[in-house]
Amino acid sequence: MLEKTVAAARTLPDFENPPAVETLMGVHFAPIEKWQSPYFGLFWSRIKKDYPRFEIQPPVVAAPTPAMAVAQFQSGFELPTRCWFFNQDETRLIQVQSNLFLHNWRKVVPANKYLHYDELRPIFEKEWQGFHNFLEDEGLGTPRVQICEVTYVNHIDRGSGWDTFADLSELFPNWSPKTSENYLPSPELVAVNTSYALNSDEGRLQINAQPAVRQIDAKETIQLTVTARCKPSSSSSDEICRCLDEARKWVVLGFTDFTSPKMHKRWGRKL
Amino acid sequence: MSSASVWDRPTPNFFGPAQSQWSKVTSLSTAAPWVLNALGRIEDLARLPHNWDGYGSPRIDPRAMAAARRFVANVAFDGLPLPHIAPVLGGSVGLHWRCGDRELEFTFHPDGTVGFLKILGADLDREENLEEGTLRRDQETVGLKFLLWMVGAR
Repeated sequence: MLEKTVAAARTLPDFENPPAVETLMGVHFAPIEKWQSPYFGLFWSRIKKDYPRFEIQPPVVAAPTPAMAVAQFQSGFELPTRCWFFNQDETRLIQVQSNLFLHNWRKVVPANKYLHYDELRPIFEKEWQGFHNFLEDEGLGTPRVQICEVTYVNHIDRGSGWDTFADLSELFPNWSPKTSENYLPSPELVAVNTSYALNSDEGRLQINAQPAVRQIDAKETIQLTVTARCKPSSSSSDEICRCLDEARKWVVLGFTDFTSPKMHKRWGRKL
Repeated sequence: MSSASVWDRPTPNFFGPAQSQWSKVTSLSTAAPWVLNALGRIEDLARLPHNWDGYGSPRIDPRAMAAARRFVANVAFDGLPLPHIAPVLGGSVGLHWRCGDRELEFTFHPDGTVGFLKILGADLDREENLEEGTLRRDQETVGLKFLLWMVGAR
C-alpha cells in the first residue's frame, strides 16, 4: 500500500530498469574540532546492530590541492581517517569522517531491487539524526552543514546500447564522433566531464562519463556519475532535506536530459 | 617459461584522490597504459581455435579469460610493465611479469583457481629461489602482494 502511495507521488522521470548501480546522499560540514579517532568506535557502538561491519578508509579530501589537504588535517592534529559502516547484507553503507556524513546504497547482484530516493531519504534522515544526537551527547557540538550532495552512479555495459566508443552519441546526444577533416580514426577511449550551475548559483551539477572495467566481474562499462551539490541556507533538518530534494531533482532531470531517448526506451522509461 | 621485458623497479602509486563511491571500477582513461593493452590481449585469446597448439588443446575457457581480466583490473597500478600473456594447456590463461631478478607467473584455470610461481634470482637449481602454489581465495589481494614483492615495494 505504502509502495503504491510512494510510486503515485513520483513526478520525475522514472525507469523500469535504470542503469544505476549505486546512489549516495549526504552532507559535508565544517570539521568538528574535537573529533578524534575513538569517536568512530563510540559512534559504531550505537549503530553496530544495524551496521555490523566496518572498514577504515582514506579520507575524502575536498581541499583544492594535496598540500592544502595535508595542512587542513595537520592543523587539527587529527589522523586523516574515514570509517565505513556496512549493513548486514552489505547493500547500504554509512561513511563518517570529521567533516562528512554520507549514506550509500548499491546493487550487489542484478536481481536486487532498485531502491528509490523516496525509500532511501527516510533512512538517511534517521541515520543523520542519530549521528547528530551522538555529537550532541558527546559534547562535540552541532555540525555546521556546508554542502548537501546526491550522487547516482550508473553503469552502461558494452553491448547494452554501445559497442565502440564511436557509438557514444547513441547514448549521449551532446557528444559526437564527427571530426572536421576525417583524419582521426575512431576514438580508442572517450571520457566526458561537464559541469552545470544550479538555479541561483545554489550549487553545481557534475556529469562524468568514463570508460571503466568493473572490478567484480571485469566487464567493460561506461560509468556515468551524476553528482549535484547544493549549499543549504541553514543546518536544520528541513533545509537539508529541501537541499537533498533539489539536488536529487537536478540529478534525475540532468541524467534524463544527458542521455538519449533510445536509451530511455531500453531502460523502460515510465514517466 | 615465456619471457617478458626486464625493467627498472617502478614505484606503485595507490594514492589517487579518495572517493565516496562504493562500487569499485578501474578507470580506463586514467589507468596505466599496460592495463588497457593487457585487457585487450586477454580478450584476443578467445580467437584461438580448438587445437591451437597442435596437440589437441581446447579453446581458451571464457571463465579463465574473465578471471585474468578481473585480476588485471584489480591490480592495475601505475608502473607495472605489460605482462607476457599466453594461452596455457587445458584452456587456461597465463600472465608473466619479470622485474629485475624477480619473476611472477600466474595461471588462471577454468575452475576458478589460480596457480602461481615466484622466482627470485637466476639460479633455478636452488630450491629457496622458487615458490609455487595455488590461490583459491582473495586472489586479487594476494596477487597484489606478490606484485609488490616483485617490484620491491616495502
